[in-house]
Amino acid sequence: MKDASPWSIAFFCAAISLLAFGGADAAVPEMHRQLVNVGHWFGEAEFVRMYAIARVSPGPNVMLMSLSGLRLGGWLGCLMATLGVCAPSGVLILYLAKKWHHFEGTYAHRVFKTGLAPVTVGLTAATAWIMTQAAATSLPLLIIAMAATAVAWKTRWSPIWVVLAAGMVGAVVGL
Amino acid sequence: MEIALSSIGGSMQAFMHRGLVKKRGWMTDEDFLELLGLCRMIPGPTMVNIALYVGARKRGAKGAIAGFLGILLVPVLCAATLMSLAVEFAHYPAVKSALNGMGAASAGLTIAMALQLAEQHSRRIWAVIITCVVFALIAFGHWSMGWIVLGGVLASMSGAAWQLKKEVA
Repeated sequence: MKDASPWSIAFFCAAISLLAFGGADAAVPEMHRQLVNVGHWFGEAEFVRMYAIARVSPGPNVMLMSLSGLRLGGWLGCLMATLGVCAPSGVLILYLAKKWHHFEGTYAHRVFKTGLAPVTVGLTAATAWIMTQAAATSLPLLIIAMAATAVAWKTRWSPIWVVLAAGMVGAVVGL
Repeated sequence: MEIALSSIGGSMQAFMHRGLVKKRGWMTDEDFLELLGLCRMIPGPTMVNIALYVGARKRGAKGAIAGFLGILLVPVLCAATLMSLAVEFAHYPAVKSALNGMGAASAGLTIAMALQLAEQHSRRIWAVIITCVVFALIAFGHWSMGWIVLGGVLASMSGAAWQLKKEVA
């Protein structure tokens, strides 16, 4: 595996973080494009694996960025990736925190809020599409993906159990 | 403070809510929802932002740092450990199969999330169109996401402005 410089990791994560309307998951399509398709830093399977591990680990979804950083640049890379992805919005939130009350309920606020939702839905759907293509490489895996969809959509079970259960099934049946 | 936050570092909103509102009484229900809305709106990781904000409100700069470390430190170490275990044992067929299954399930969870969001937000025709265009361009095109997101946000804001104006009239 090639090594990436810590600064390039931080800048990369900061840049994709700015696209992530609706949470860290929204940045996944761009990460996948840059890291797998363009840069060939990771293979498809490895990216899926990191995604799965980020999902079962406790903690925020930024774990995917932290893990990528770890793989590409060791602990320093991990640190830079995590800081990079949190920095832009972190600064913004600390700044906004004081002014927010004046803004709440205004026309601009409502336009902003209503306007972002469709983009967030589109980004999430794109993440879902890309990850399903990457992960569901055989019929049994596709069935597992669909089953997980159904369970997560229609029940209130914790996502962690869904993923772990799929892991069990995989270990026993062999996928 | 740090310990407090790392104990609730379990990421998901429900945990956050329980930890901040019910257990510690640091904020009211309303404050929490408002904050969640704000953190969702700006690009970037939602939960980390909540931790930063709460930390800053309570203890200023020190609090923000504590919140940041609190919510990330333990999870990063957990994830890194799991990752190295996975790499170490990936050549065993059972482990590999388990990881494949977990990957597929994770993808399924994301599909479910997209469906849930669509249920909530796709009530208007303009919103559905923008969602579909953003999705198609990213999923099937191979361009950088920056322009697509920027264009999508602008188009979507215009749509929202138009809808709100109509509602008022």
